[in-house]
Amino acid sequence: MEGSVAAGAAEEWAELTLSPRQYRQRARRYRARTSRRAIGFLAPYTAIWAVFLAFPVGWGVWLSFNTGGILGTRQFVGFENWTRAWGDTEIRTAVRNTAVYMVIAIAVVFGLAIFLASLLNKHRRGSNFFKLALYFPLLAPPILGAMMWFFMVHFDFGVLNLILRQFGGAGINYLGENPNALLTIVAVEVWRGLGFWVLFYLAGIQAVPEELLAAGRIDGAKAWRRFARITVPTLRPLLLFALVVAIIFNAQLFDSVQVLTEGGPALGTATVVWFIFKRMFAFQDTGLAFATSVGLLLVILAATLLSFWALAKRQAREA
Amino acid sequence: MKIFRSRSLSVGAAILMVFALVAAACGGDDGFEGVTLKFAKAPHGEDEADNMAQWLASFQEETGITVEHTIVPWDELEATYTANFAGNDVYDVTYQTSTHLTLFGELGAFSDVTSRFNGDDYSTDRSHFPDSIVNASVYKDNLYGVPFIIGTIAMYANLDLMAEAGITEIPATGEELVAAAKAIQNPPDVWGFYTPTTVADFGWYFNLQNVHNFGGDIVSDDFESATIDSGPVRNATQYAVDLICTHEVQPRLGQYDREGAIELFKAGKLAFLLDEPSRVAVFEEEGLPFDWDIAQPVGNNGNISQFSTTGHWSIAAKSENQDAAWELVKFLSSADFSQTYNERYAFVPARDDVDSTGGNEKLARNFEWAMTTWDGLVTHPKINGLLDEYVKALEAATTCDTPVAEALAEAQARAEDLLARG
Amino acid sequence: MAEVILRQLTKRFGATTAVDDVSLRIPDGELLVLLGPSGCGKSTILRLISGLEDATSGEIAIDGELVNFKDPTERNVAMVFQNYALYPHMSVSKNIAFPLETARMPKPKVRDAVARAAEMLEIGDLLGRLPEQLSGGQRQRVALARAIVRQPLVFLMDEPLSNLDAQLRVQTRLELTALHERLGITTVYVTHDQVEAMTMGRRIAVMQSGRLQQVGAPVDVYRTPATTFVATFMGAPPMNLIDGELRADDGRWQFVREGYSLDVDPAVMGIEPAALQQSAGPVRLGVRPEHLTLAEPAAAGIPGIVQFLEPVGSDLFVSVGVGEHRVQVRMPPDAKAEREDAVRVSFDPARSHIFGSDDRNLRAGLAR
Repeated sequence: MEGSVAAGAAEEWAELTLSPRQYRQRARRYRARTSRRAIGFLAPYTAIWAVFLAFPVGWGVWLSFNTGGILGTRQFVGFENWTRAWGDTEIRTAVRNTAVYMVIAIAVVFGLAIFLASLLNKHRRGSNFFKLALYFPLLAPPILGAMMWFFMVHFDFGVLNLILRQFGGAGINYLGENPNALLTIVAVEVWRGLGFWVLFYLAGIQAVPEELLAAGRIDGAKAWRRFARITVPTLRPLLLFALVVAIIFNAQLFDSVQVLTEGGPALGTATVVWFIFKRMFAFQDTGLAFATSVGLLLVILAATLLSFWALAKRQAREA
Repeated sequence: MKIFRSRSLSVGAAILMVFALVAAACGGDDGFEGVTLKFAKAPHGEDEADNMAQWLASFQEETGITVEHTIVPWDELEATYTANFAGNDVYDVTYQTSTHLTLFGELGAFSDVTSRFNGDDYSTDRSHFPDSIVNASVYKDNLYGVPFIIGTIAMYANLDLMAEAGITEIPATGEELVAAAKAIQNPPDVWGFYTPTTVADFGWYFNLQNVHNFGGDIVSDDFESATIDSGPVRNATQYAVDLICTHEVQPRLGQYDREGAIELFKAGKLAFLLDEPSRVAVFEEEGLPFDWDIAQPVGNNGNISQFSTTGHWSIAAKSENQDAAWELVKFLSSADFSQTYNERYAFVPARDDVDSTGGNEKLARNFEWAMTTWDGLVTHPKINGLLDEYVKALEAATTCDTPVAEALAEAQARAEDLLARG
Repeated sequence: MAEVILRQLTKRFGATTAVDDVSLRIPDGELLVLLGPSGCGKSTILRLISGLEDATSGEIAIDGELVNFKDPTERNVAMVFQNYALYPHMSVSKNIAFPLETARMPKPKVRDAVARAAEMLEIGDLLGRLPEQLSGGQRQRVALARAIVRQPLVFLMDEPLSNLDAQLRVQTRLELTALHERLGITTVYVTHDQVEAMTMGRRIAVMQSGRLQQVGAPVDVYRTPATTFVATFMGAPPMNLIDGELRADDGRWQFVREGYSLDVDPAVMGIEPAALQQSAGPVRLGVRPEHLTLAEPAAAGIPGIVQFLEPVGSDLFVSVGVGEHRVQVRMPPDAKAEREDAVRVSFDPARSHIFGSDDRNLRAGLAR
């Protein structure tokens, strides 16, 4: 029993050597030293962030309450730009188009990407080629990609209509009619984004534990059922994050609209960023352009926060 | 004057074609030795960069000024210039059409050249600029650029197709055009007519002469009220819509864009085409496999007129070399340069002492139409926005899905808002 | 080489108290084992000593110097992680050399030190390989070599054997002990495995829920657990605990439960009479299985019914139902017992313990 002590024994060596005040002081100094070092490392990025992000965004917010400011003299007008933006019928069309576009494009690209990713995961042979091929569109400059599509969907000599006519079809007016034009834009953007999302989901699918799928197999689930009931639900946390990223990307649709349709026909492909671009440069309506930009930023921010909130809530529930 | 608009040039966001030609040692004594001017222009042809390098060589040699020429693609022009003029390293001299001349000018981007233009040492040249042309470019007594060229529109006609259908005369009125086009066409192999009506192809440029023919405009002369939703604009727009949707002599929107229609014409599958006279030289060089000619765009309502914008040379207000820039503007506005330029690109010179037709009989007639029936665009800070509202309505109506009245009413409301703002 | 002292150390993560007022002295050169179930705070103590976490309150002294406000790099401690934490992109020799190169030791000296460490751990022939080309035991040795190469003041080992298979674990255990004896570096060794703790530590410290339960030599802790937690955590099968009541009857103390009572002689059980007085009421009687015997129903002892028999070769463990309890009795392998037999469970009071309602052992000599 000798040498055996229970806890809490008040031995002399266990007496504190620092008074609470000394302890607090030295702890504070230590923390300060540590955070000084952290600040030192963060400073360059913070500076870049301030100069290239915080300041411009702040300036943009300020300009949304003014007229002019880029060219021409700036004049404070309060909420005038905001009320104008709110009442603008063209913005409403643009918001509607952007929303419709996002819903279709994200649903299609996610569905295709998850499906292709599970195929690639299953059939490893040659998958590197397909990964590269799928990813390729992302490497091409956006304008170039859109131009390539211009020659794909051209009514007269476009590849798609040539094929249709080979089979006796009449040829589709891809860009000159609604809703064809918006759907064509969806196709272009799905084509462009697919590779990224396939790789994204492939990484996710590869993280699905093999035992789960093995258990599913033994429990008698066929391939499709295993995919739908095991793989996809396991991807769900990933899905929410992906949704945020996709919303951020797609809410800013512009390049292909500018190259293929310039918002037409009859504003059928007018998107929010296209509207901002038009107001900013063709009309030099700086205030309205910035008010709309800031509005878009706020909407995207809200969507992001909402998604993260949902994610956190789900995680809390699962924990 | 959106004369040339190649899609391949839109790739050129990154391709800045800068020509830094070193000035010859034997420069003049006017104190510009070593000065470098940045010069930017939207192109009228794919060969413009090469041509400019050649044409500017003598100027650089004589003055000792180095000119760095940048090609700004038409569809990036507004964004490029906005960014450039907002910064400090501006293009000293730029080419500006009436749509953007006072838009940027009133925002303080350009120097007012009125005093230089009317100055004593420029009086000889000044006397060769007709007042009617100059006045269209003045806004509130400010002139933000020296007029250079006025564009026009021509109707190209395939004479072989006409002959096959037994038509001997190129149509001169709207009714004649519809009748002839109907008689000739056999879609989808042969089409009767094409004129651009979309935002992307600057549809307003090819339809405003008709608005004028019907006796109106999209805005009142004093720019106090929008008149997009007025009888003449309705009639002119309805005419454009009928060609596509009722008479079906023009392909549906989206089937052929402007460049596509030109290819269609060149292939002998289109009877009548509205485009700029700059194609004349191109067609002649290429040698089309059929007889063709140009005529003035058909009249309507008993009137016939020529519409266009005017191109100007402007000096940036922030340019640190105002005098050198003026030297360049003087050179670009000279009779010699105007002659050279327009012999290549077939515009109508803003000066009356230049014959740029080069003996081409077709271009001579075009020149004549411009001289007799020109009804061009008056510059105004808001004209670009008004045109944008109108062309959106035109595009919407020519989809055949939106009634003309509805499209114009919407545009009218937006145009009124635009004018009502300070 | 240094003495490590923890003074009233507390670490809180939000509302959770991971380490609760722990005071502990580890003399120079000692190997102290921190033993406890997962989540008891033992790993947190290692991270506090190493500086990977900052204490909420309390002090840590190494070699007489307060290190609370020093960076991990300045504390000169070496840590061996459960998953070894070898740099996967570096060869074995690079892995071992890394701490020295970080300290800017000249190249030739690094080479010598690496060679010495490698020799000591018998991994000289593996120096050119990458971690992925090594077996678990080899990785373990490389991790140890990397820890000893810089001759730290203190070794911190966080369950270093738990990723090894059973056989290798026994072998490495012995080697670790030998290595410690040879180097004589103060070592804090964290494990949840009581066998490891019993065999390796000169002293072990048992923790539960962030609190230190008992510190002492393994045998003492085993024989005389300070709390019911230590009594049941140490030993397989654990100490039997039987509920009952402590009553004084005519000046004689008795442990009473339904149908049975036992005289409690303070002298025999090593309990101060005053302690008995204080704990009158519900208590638990604790006896290890090896200190119980089975007797005929007529004999003295607690009555029970045999429920299960578990022969394990060297012994026969007999489960006896006693009321709602089940007690384990260790018998010789050839002992005669049948299921459903009515038996008496008797035991040696000198080797039995009474735990008060506060779960503490009443036996004298255990500080309370």
